[in-house]
Amino acid sequence: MQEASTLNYDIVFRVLTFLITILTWFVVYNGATHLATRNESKELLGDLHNELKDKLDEAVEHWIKIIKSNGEDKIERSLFLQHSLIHISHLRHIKELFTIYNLSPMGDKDIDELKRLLTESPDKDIRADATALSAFYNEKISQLSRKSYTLIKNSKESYNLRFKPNNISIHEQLKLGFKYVLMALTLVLVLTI
Amino acid sequence: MSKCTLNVSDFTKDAFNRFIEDGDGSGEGFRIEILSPALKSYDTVTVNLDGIHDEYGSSFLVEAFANLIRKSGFSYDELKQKLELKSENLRWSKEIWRYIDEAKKDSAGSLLRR
Repeated sequence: MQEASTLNYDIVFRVLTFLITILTWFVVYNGATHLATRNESKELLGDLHNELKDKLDEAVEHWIKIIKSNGEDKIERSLFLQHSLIHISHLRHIKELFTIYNLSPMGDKDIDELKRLLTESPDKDIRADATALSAFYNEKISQLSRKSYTLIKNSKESYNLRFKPNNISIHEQLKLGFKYVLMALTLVLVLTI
Repeated sequence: MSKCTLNVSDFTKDAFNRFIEDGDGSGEGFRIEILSPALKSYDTVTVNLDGIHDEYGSSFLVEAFANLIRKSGFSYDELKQKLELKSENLRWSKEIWRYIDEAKKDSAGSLLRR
């Protein structure tokens, strides 16, 4: 009789050890995956922000130069357009990469809007009038700045929604951990009894 | 019913310039030299958009397609009937039709202003 009881305890102990091992592995694996995903997407988010900021700076510099030269410098304008289209292709690629991490910091519409701002040249009437040309590019500068910073803000928000910032202090976390351990121990005791 | 197919990539691989004076392969050049004559001569014109580098510049698309209404005298209904856009990238044809729709609204506005 006593032997059977010892055997029962032994089986319960083995099963519990196995379950705790599986649970621990699951928690550790999930935690590690979450942290890795969080870091990788943060890095990608940084790339996106740099890309947007650099392009904004480049565009502002280029358009101010155009205003000053009164629309001349055809070669530089062509180079800027070409470079902007490569930039847009790159943004589309970054957007696709974000889907791997279940993040959508920007939509196709946002990229289309950026493309239009970057690659829309003025009409002949506007080119012929220095004041209209200056107004055209001034408007573009303000629209692109607004759009770029809205995208940066939205992407940060989207990231924070997906990966909620950890605001719990270490003290609180220990308390929470202790609670779980206590619950697990109670469960083990109940099961063994 | 006569048909013809045009490849933008035969005209230019870098589709971003707006006017002929801006450089080679402009939207204006494509409209005046290629697309507009084809639309006048054939019942259906299919434009194959694939094969260019990167993306289309907005101004190229506006000048080549939307300005068929504003500057080349085609009507919206005529374009709907005759113009077919072909591409693996659906975004491009959507973008072109969006610009054509805008041009239609502009021309309706200018008719009202008369």
